[in-house]
Amino acid sequence: MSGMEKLVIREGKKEDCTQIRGLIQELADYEKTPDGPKISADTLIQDGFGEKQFFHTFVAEIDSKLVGFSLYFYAYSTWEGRAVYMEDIYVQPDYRGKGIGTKLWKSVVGAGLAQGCTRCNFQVLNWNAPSIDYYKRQGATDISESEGWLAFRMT
Amino acid sequence: VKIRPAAKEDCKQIRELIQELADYEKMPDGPKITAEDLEKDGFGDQKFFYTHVADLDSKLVGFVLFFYTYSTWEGKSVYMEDLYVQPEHRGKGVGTKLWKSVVSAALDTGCSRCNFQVLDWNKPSIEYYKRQGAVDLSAAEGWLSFRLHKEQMVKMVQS
Repeated sequence: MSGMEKLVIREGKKEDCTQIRGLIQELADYEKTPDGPKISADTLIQDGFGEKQFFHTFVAEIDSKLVGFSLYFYAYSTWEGRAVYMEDIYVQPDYRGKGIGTKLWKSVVGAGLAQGCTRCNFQVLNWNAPSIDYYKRQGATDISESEGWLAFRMT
Repeated sequence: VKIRPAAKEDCKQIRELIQELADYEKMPDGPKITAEDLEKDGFGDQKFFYTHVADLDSKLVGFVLFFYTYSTWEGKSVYMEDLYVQPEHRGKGVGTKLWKSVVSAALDTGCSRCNFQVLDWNKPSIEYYKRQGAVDLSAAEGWLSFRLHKEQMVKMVQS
């Protein structure tokens, strides 16, 4: 696949939000929930690049086109202190298998370690076998299995 | 009982309540952080969390610890990390008041979700959360929680 030598992994900027919103949609389509994403690129700009930043991003860029992204924020564990939570990680199908996802994840983990985090948490859907296998290969533990955690939500 | 935002001076008592909750969760060796860590991380320049406490004549009988998160689907959210009321003070609505105070703060901030986790054997809590209108997304949507511990994080960035 051409262009890999031009791959740049960098922090996301305000100007990336339109493309990031496009990738968020692609990830939701992959997760079989295309109507999930309700927020706009403008909301991303406001919430990620305003006075209080509710999230941070890394993007994978080839010739100004974003082919992947990771979105994360800082969390807290009353057991181990500062943690980093990876909310989304996505690489377009044509660009998979080349280590781009790992580079994006590494960037998040690196940012977390720099902030003194001792955990990187994230969630994955139980039918998503390729991703589950990949995360386990990288050393992640399924704590729903090992510790019995269930995710609850109120809207 | 008075529900109020925590002050730095509450961190010692909060650390004890964190220990009591870990004991209840059958993982007494879980909490590794100190009261000083809580002071630094919750009351410094960058706040990694917020807390509200249930204060009964200067004794803390419960607490809730939370922070703001983000959903790429619905935007700003709040995550409730710990909610705990001492056994002798349960059944009086203290937990609900603490939870309500988090939800209220979250709505003021423009959040559209309140997320949290509960252990699958903790029936009393599961039933309580469901009565308050919360949904078990692990059951409904199939979400599994994954974690990389520090050792694996360091290994990853070094590879």
